[in-house]
Amino acid sequence: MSRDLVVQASGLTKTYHKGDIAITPVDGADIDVAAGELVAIMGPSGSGKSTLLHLLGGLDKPDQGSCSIGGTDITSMSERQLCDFRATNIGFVFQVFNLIPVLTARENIDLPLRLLSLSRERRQQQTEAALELVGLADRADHLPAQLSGGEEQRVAIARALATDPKVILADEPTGNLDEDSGQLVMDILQTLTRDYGKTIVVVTHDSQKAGYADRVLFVHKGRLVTERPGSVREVA
Amino acid sequence: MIPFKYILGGLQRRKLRTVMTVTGIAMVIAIYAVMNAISTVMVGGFQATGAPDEVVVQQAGAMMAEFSNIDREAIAYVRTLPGVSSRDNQPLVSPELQLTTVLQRDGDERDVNLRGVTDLAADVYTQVSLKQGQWPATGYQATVGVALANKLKLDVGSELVIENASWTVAGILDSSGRIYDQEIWVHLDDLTAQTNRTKYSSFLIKTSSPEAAAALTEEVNSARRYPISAMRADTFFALQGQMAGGIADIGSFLATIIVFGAVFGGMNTMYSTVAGRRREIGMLRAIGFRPRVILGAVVLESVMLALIAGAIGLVLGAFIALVPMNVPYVAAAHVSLGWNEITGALVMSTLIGVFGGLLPAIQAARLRIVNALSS
Amino acid sequence: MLTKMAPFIWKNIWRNKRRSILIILGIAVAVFVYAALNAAVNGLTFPIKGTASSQILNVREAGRAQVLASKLPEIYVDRVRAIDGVQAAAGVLTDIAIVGTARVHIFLRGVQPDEYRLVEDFIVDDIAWENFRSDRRAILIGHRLQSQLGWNIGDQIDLGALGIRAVIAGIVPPQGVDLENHLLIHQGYFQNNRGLEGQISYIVVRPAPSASPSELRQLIDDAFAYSPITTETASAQEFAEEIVNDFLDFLVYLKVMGVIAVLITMLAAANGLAMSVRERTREIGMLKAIGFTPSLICGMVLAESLLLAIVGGFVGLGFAWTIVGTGGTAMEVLALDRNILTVGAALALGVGILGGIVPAINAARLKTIDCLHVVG
Repeated sequence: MSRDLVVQASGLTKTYHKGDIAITPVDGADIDVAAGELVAIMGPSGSGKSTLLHLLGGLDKPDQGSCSIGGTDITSMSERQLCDFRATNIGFVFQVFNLIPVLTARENIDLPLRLLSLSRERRQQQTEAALELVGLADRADHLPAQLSGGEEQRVAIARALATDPKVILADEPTGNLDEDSGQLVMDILQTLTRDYGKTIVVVTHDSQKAGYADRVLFVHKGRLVTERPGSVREVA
Repeated sequence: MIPFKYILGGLQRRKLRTVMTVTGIAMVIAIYAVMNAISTVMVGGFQATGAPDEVVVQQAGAMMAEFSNIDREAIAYVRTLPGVSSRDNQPLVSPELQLTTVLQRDGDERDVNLRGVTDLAADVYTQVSLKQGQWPATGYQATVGVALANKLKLDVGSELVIENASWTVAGILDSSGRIYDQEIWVHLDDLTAQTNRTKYSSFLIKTSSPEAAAALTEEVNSARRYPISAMRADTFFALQGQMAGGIADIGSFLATIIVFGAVFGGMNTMYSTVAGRRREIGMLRAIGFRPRVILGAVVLESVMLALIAGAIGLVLGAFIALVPMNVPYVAAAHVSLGWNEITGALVMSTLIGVFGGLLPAIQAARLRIVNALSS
Repeated sequence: MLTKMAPFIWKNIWRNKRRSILIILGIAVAVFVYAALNAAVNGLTFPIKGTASSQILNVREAGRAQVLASKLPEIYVDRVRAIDGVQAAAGVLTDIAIVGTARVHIFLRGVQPDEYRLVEDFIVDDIAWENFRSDRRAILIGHRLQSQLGWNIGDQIDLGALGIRAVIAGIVPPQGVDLENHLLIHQGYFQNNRGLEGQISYIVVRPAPSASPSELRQLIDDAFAYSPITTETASAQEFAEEIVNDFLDFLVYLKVMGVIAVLITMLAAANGLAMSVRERTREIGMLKAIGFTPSLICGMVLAESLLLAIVGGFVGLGFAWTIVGTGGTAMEVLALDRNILTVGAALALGVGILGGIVPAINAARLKTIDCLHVVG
C-alpha cells in the first residue's frame, strides 16, 4: 500500500550537556507518519519525547540522522529557512503559553497567517474556517484571559490549523486541562484526522488520551517502539 | 527586620539591569554635583567681595564696568564728598579703568579682568594684601591675583602679553577668596596709553563706616552732579553674584529636571524587581513578615542602589570637574566638589531612591499572599 | 511584513502600561530639556543674530574680549570710506539699556542718519524718516521692540538710567534686518549723553558690488595696522555671533548636559525594553516556533522601542512648546523654531533606535527550544 508519508525521520540523535554530564534523550530514533494519521508518542517524564517533537518540528537540529516533512529534508536547512518552512508547513500546539494575552482569539489565529502573503480576505476566510472547525466561532473576540483552559487550547489548535500545514505537532496539549476539556481536545484532534485528513503527532504521558490515536509509539532508551517497554520485541 | 544580606543579594541578581540603572543615576548625580560646584565658584567669590564701608561708583545706566565711562574731571567732585576717608591728607578714592582682556599664555587662553589702578589702590583696598613683590607702578608692571597666578604658574618676573604689549609681573596679590584673586592689576596710566581710553570706568571709595558709606551713596545718587551712580560695595558685588548665580541657576534647574528622568528609570527597575520576586515575597509574608517590613525592604533596596550610584556619580563628577572650563566671570575658576556638593549629591541620591522605590514598594506590600505564591 | 504586525506591536506596548509610561516620560524629560534649553537660548539670541547680514562688514577694535566694548575714534570712518572697494561706511555708537518692568534688553545704535542709511538701506516710511533726521532727540525703533514694549509713534520715552529723553519718530517695519530689534538714535546726542564725544563703537561698511568682501576685510585691517588702535573686520553676521558668544559662554555646559540627558534616557529606555523582552521569552519562543523569523522579531522589538520614543518625543516637545511659548518676557514665541523641533524629534528617534537595538537583537537570538522549556 503506497501511503503518503508526511513525516519521515530516521536515526535521529540529540545529546545535551549539563555541566559535565551528557544526556542523550533521543538516540537513533526512526518514525514515519502517513497522511491523515493521528500518532501518539508516549513515555514517562523526561524520556525525551518533547525533544523528539522539537526535532521533528525543526525547532532543534539533530546531531545525527535526518528528517523530512512533506518530502522536504529539514535537517540541512538554515535557521531562516526553518522559520519560513514552519510558517507554511508545520503547526504547533504547546502545553501552556500558546496564546498572546493581548490579542483576541481571532487575532491569535490570524497571527501566523500574517507571515504569509495572503490578502486580507483570504486571511479572514481561513481564520473563520479554523474557528468553525474547533467550534469557537462565538468566542472569537474574547481575550485568552476570558477563555477557559480548554477553550484556549482549542484556539491554539485553530491557530495551528489556520495555515493549512502538512502536519500538526502537539506537545502535551491536554497536560494542563481538566478531564472534560482534555477529552474534548482529543475529540477534535481525532475528528481533524478522520474527517478532514489532517496529519497530527501528539506527545502525551496520559495513556487514556493516547487511546484516541491510530497508532501509539513508546519512547524507550532514546528510540521509538510500538509496544510498551516491558515486552520483548523492538521494531525498526 | 529583613536581613541586610537579603537586600544586597537582591541587587546582585540581574546584574545587567542593575548596572544600567546605576549608570543612569550616576550620570545624573555627576551633572548635578558639577553644576552645584560651578554655581558655588561663580557666586562664592562675589559674595565675599565688597566691604560695607566701601562704595562703588560707575556711570549711570552702565551695565558693566567695561561699558562705564566717567569723565576724568568727576574725580575732583568725588574726592570732596562727605564721609570719604583719608590718609596723609589723601582722600581714599581709587580711580580705575577696567577691561576684559584675552590672556594667552602657553597654549592656554582665557578672559581676564584687567584693572588699571593708581598708587592709592594699596590704601583703598584694605582687604587686599600683597603676597609677593609690589603694587603696580608705571613701566608696564602687573600685579596678578593669587588664584590666577597659581593657575598659570606665574611668579614675580614672569612676562605677560596683554593688549599687544609686554608686561612684567611685579607682584602677587591676595584678597582671601575675593574676586580680585582672579584679576590682573596694572597702572592706570599704562593701561590708558595702551588702550586709548580717556575715561574712567569706576571709582572705589573708602569711607569711615557703613553708615558713612550709605550716606555718601545717597548723596551721589540724589545730587546728580555728574551722570554717575553709587552703590555700597557689599550690595554691588552681591548683585553681581546674583547675576552670575542666575546663569548657574539655569544649569542647576535643568539638572534637577533630569533627576526626574532618573526617578522614572529607577521606578521601572524596582517594579520589575518586585514583579520578578512575587513568589519570594509571598513566601516571606507567609512566614510572617508584615507588609510594612516588605515595603521598607523594597525602599531600602532602591535607596541602596541609588546611593551606590550616587557615590559613583560623585567620583565621575570629580573627574569632570578636572576638565579645564571657561567659567563665566571667574577667570581662574577652581571647580571642585566640596562638602556642600557631596552632601547635596547624597541627599539627591537618597531622594531618587526613595521616590523610585516607593510606589513599587507599596505594590509589593499589598500583594495577596495566595496570588504571590502561585506565580 | 512589519506593517502587518503593526496592531500586534501596538498592543504589546500597552501590555505593561506602567512601564511604557515611565519610559515615555523619561524620554519626554530628555527631549523637553533639550528643546526648552535651546528655545531659551534662541529667544535670547535671536534678536541679536537672527537677521544680521552677511554682506555688510563690521570694523571693530581688535583684540577685545567683549566685542561690544570695542571703541574706535570717529575719524576712522573717513579713512575707511577712502579705501578702494568701500561703497559706503558709517560709524555706530552702541550701548545696551534695560527698559521697563519686564526688564527688556535693547540695543541702542547711535548713528548719523544719512550716512547710516547709505550702508544699511532699510525700508521705512518717508515721513517717519524725515522726522527722525530733523529732530536730534528723535529715535526710530524696530517693530519687534514696539510689540515687546508697547511703544507708539509720538511717545515721549525716558530711558531713565541712561539719562536719555527721546521721542519716537517712527517704526522700522518687518523686512528681515536686525534693525527690527534695535533702536536708532542720533549719534551726536548719544555721544554727548554718554560722554563719548569723538568716539564710536564700530563701523559698518557696504562693499561696492565689484569688491570681494574677503579681500576688502583684509584691506581695511591693513589700513590701520600701524595705527594706535588696530582693527578687526568681519561680516555683520560674524560680529553678531561673537556678541552672543560673549554673553553665553555658559552654553557649552548646558549643551553637554543636554547630551548626557539623552544618554541617560537611552539607558533607561534600553533597560525598560530589556525587561519587557525578558518577560516575554516564552512567547518569543512560541512565535519563532510558528514561523516568526529572527529578523522579524528583531524588527518588532525595535518598532516597539521607536514607537515609545516617538510618543515620548511628542510629549516632551509639546510640553516645551507650552512652557516656552507662554513663559518669560524676553523669550519670543518664535524661539521654538523648526530646527529645534526637528532635532528634538531626531533625538527621540535616536534614543528609540539605540535604546532598542540590544534588546531587539537579544530577542532575535533567543533559541526557540530554550524558551519552550516546560517542566515535565
